Amino acid sequence: MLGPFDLAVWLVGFLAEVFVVLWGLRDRSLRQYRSLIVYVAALAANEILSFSILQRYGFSSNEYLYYYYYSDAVLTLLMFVAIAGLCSRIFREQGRSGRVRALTMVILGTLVLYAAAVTEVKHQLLATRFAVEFSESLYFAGMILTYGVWILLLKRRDPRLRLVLVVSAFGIYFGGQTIAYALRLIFPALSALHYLPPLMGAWLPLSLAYTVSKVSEEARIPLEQLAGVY
Amino acid sequence: MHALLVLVLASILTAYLGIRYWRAMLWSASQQRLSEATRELGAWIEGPEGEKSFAMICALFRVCPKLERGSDRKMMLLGGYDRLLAGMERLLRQRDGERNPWLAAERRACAYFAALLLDQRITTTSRWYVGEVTDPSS
Repeated sequence: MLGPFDLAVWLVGFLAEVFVVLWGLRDRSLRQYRSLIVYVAALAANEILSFSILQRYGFSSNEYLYYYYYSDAVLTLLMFVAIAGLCSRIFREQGRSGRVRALTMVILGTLVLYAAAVTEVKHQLLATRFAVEFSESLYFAGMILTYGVWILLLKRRDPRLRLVLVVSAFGIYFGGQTIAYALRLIFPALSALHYLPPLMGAWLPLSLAYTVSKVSEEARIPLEQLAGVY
Repeated sequence: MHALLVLVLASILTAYLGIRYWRAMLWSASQQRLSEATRELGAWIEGPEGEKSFAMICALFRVCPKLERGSDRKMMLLGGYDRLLAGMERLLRQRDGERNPWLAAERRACAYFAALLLDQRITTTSRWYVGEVTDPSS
């Protein structure tokens, strides 16, 4: 059952998501981050839907269980597409966007096959199990992809502060979720793990809300100094 | 084994990006300009021994009347980071005999961020003093 902590974190995250979407509609400079804004809008819609399903069917119902795992997989997929969009934008500026699309399709295809294979091997061909494996793989691939984008920014000495903050925030989010999944596999009985996914869920909209509202598109940063490379 | 490998890799990458995020936030502060009241501090921070100015700015911050509720969490966080950097600087100086330019630049960024916090506090207090604001949180 959800406690006061879960509800408070959920509310903070939801308000931050609504804030980011409204700010994205207002601020024209955010149009180039369209895929991210769409993703945050999907997150906000999901919060409302999951809350209403939770209210109607209860926390331990099959309806909520299926909805939770499938919406998580779909949202992670959307987020993956958003990151691939960012990646594509950076490549497009270098005139190489076709490669990213091809690479994204290959990664996604591989992940679906991998998740299906892992589920089959474990003889647990349950729909929820597939969704969990799929999310886990996407988080891991998202983390690697985000790190790749970061290296790309660094290589190009790209000084756009907003882009740097967005990419880092996504990397921390993917990394945190991957850590939560890995810890759950290693220590299934660790109760403190219950807090990590909702905290990471609130982290992303909060950091995005800070970035879109406080950091202008014109803000620049000496990236080589930030990363400690000269 | 597979989960352990994923955990180690994810922890390293997340820590790496976490540090970069924190530093980007610090550097983003340097995009803001200091007001007339604290401009001299800015010149001092940019000076040859600027990395040592954090303690002085912290002392000024403490004596400046505080109108907001709550603790000075940002300043405490910055203080912790600056102490960590100072410790690393001392260690490296003992080993190499000269100061590390990266650590010095990082401590300057810390001092600049602290000066911005001081600047905000002075501005809020002055506005309240002349009656422009009645609620310090606004």
